[in-house]
Amino acid sequence: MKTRHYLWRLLCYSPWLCLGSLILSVACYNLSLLVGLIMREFFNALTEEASVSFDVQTLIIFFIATQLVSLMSDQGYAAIYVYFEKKLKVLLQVNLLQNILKSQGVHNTQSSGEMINRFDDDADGIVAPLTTAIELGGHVISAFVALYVLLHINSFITLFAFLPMIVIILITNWMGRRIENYRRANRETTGRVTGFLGELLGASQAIKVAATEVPAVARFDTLSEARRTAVLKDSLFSQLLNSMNATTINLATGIILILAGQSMRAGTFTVGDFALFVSYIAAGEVSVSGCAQWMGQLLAGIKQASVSLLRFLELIPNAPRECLVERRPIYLRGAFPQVPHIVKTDEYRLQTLQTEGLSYCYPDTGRGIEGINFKLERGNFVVITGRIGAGKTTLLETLLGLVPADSGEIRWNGTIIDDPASFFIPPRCAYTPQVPRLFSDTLEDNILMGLPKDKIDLNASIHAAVMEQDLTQLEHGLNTVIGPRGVRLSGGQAQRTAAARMFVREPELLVFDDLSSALDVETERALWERIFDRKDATCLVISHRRAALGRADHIIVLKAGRIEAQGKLDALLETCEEMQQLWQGNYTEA
Amino acid sequence: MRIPIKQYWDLLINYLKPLWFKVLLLAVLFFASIGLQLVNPQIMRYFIDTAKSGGALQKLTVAAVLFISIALIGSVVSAFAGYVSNDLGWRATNRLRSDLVLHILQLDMSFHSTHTPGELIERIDGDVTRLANFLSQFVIRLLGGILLSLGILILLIYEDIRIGLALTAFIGVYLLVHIRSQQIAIPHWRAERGASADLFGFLEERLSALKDIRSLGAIAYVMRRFYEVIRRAFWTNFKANVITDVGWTISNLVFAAGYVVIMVLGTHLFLGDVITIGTVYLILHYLQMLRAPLNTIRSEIEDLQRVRVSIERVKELTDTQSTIRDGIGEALPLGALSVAFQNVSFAYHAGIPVLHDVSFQLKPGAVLGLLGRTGSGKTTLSRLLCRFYDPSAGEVSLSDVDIRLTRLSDLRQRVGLVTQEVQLFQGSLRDNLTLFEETINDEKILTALRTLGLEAWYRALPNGLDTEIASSGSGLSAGEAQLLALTRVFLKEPGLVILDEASSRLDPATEALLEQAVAQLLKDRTAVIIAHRLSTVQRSDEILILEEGQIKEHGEYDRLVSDPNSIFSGLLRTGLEEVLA
Repeated sequence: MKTRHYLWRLLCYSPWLCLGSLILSVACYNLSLLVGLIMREFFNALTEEASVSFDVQTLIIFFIATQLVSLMSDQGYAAIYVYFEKKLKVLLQVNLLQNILKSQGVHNTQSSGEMINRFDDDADGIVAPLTTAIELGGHVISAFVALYVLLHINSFITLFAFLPMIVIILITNWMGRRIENYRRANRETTGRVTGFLGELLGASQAIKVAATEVPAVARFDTLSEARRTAVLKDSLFSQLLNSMNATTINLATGIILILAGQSMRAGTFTVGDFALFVSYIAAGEVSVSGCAQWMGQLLAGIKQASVSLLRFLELIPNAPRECLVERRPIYLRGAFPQVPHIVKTDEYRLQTLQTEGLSYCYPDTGRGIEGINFKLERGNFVVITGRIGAGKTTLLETLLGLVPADSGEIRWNGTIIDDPASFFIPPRCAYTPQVPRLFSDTLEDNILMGLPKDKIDLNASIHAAVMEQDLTQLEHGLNTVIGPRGVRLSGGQAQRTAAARMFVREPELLVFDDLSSALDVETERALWERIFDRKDATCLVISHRRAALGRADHIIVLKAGRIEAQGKLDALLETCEEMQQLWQGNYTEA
Repeated sequence: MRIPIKQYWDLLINYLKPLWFKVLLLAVLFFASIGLQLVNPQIMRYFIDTAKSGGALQKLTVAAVLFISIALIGSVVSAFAGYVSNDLGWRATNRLRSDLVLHILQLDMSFHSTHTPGELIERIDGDVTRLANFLSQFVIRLLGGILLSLGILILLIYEDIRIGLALTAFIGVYLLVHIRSQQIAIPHWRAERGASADLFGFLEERLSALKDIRSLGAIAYVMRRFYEVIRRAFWTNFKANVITDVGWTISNLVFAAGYVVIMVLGTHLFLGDVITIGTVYLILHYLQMLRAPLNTIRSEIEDLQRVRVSIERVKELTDTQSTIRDGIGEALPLGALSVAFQNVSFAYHAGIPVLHDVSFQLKPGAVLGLLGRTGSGKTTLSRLLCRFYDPSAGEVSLSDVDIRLTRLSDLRQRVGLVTQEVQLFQGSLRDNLTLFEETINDEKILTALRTLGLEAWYRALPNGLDTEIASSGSGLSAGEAQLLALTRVFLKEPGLVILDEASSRLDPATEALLEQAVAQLLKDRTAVIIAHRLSTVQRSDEILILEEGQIKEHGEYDRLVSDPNSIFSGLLRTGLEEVLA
């Protein structure tokens, strides 16, 4: 899909708004032309060379009336323009977020700071040529009107005055590729600065502990400098284009001066004509050459938009490309959409889950998992264990579709699952990662995440997650706002909040990664007991706790991304050396 | 209307001072370009009057060529001036950005726990970039606009005092009306900045929680919240824009009125043979020319408003003082440090004490095992040792030095902390280990990795120390992250080591692997090991059990183990059950 197709689809999202903006744009520019004509008659009336027989007084009244109408349409235009521009920006942002959220198994390497930078600047970049086009629309039409008027007065001078403008269009075209490069460099260095900043601020405690604030800022300086150079190149280029445009206007005015001398002396070209020519061609907004400038800006804008589009699409490499401009409601007005609540029925019931030859390899490190085969049945408690870097988390993430499997099959009740990312969600399955992420909302919102409070059992899941005591300790109980990323909770509280978030969804399959790592002995014991008490619960967990391993129906021992052995604990302890070492913890590196 | 020029000035003068040469160059270019702009209309007047009075064609041609040459030189000069001012703006604000980042990094943890990175990025970069544009364009445009207007007024007064005075009065009224009408928009722009910061704060959190959101099937919920946040951002922005536009319309009305006055006055003077038709054209042309600088003045003043909001937000940041005051520089002795808590109490929120009257001492080189339920105050205790917070009562001292008297940088150099959640960032392994400290050479890092038994892991990396670590350390297991955190502490060679549940994420095999290395780290160092698990405190000389912010039990390890009535020995029994389960 080419950039212009995207832009067209965007325009079609709001055709009436677009048309309205265009009509007002045309009205505004043409009213300015009318003012120029009135001024011409004013001068002609003074020098008594008038072609129309209005006296000066009437002309001044005309002038006042035109100005009033013009001001009103300007006001309307400005409002509709902003509305149109920002609405499309919101659509792009909504589509981008929607697709980032659901795109299957994207291993995003961009920092969140860098992603935010794209959300903002690149959305602006994509919309920019559209608003430019609307401006251009008003300009082109008023330019034709102006051209007609000028040709009618003196076709010879008009044609010569237009020569320099053709030159600028050619030059702008020629400069197009460079603009793209410089803009890209500008965006990239800016992205690096904000990305670094995000990482730095996200690791502020580590920086503090290490007392390396000053060297960290020195690194930031280096990136800022690179950005300054890129910004300067980019803006010098647009400045050159702008000054070239001013130069063209001046050249055209000079040409009028050279050509008009003779005829003014002869009286065939009046002072009013001269004023009209200079104002149409030169005076900023009402100029025919403004067209060339807007046209140049549109062409440059489209090129910049394609850079921005690419940077958008980089964030969602697997999504269909037209998803960015997909028509969908954006809820700027009216009721917000209901968050759908899926009622758990028999069709979601888990009998068996099975994988065959499941493999995934991280492209950047070359590590991952290979040929994973295992089976779990309803009511099983399956533990995955292994050393650091054995691929335990990768295994869970591949199964759940959080990273895209390179090969292998996943079967749920015997049926092959093609898109695990959209399949393994509540009420089938819920997952708590090793380091769960929470949001700066209330504790309750963090647990519910949109579930209707009346249809679920919040207290039961808080109990299951052994959180009842914490609630009494927190300032406002469930209504405590837990700070950005949940920093106001202790590590253990955050982990149990995430557990409650999982339990409240009553999934058929509970998947958790090292859930008890931040818990004290007694809390952990309570947690395990409450999990085992759940009737019918099917669990797939990563753990190296003896409490978990001892209760497991099935243990999968991973080593270097492959299954070393699997089975019951007793059998594994007898036959599997790796398991023995993990169990005893007396392993020394070979 | 208060243009808080002094605020801008205070903020910027420091940053502009070292760049004085560029400022001077800019001023020169600037006056040249304004002079050139003023000359050309005079040529046009000469041209019209000469043509109308039937002057020689040669004179007209010379005037036309002169016009073109002056215009061309003017373009070059103003483009160059634009470049210089841009450069100036970015150089100055880059330093401001760096100072802000440093300031923020030095603020205490209570600041960082209430501001999302996304919000701070918007402030450090968004607000300052607005300042950069302001700085680079403000000088060129606003000052240029004012000077050009002044030049035009002087020329017009010279032409005819009545016209000149009428225009002066007009400009006065115009600017007054405009500035008044713009003030109504200020609070709306402030609201707009706030809503946009909220939007980006929201996005930042969600984008770093993609796995959680996807696997919990919470996409629809996140979208719904996004609609709420973005709707607010959209409408506050729209409102601010429209209200600003109303201000513009009012000002335009005044301008049109001024134009009418000059038309009437010009007609009157021309018909009375006071001025030529060329002069009427000149006056109206100058008036037309005034439109541009006046427009710029008002749009710059508008920017000034927006920038004012940004400056306020920047100043708000710089004015935020860390509640932790840097000490006067009392030195900590070399080698292992002793630790003493004396009647220490602490609360994050008034009324909810986390630590209450805690007192204990730890000899240099001793290892303290700190136990307690989640929320009992263990982590808080470690935070007080690193001086992330100051106690609300009592005193924390290291080797008999109140830690409030040492410099923070010294303190943190001498105290190593490994937290449970390791903060990793996108960047090379080297940067993640040294945290940008360039005085730590590769050899030292490699030695540390070797001591920790990470050599085999390190050898498997594709690019050694240059291996890129993905954002938030994804691609690394939590155990690996934990090992990196230990390496960070190794590199610092501290006198006190705090391990906050440091090994809780490690599988037993790796935990065992670390035993020896940790032993080496703790050799000749004092240590506080916070753990939920009894096995992790086996190496302790002393045990301290916290409950609800108070010391429940404190004593030598061996003594507590042998005392069947101690809580610790009770815990050991339940713990053994856990191990045998």
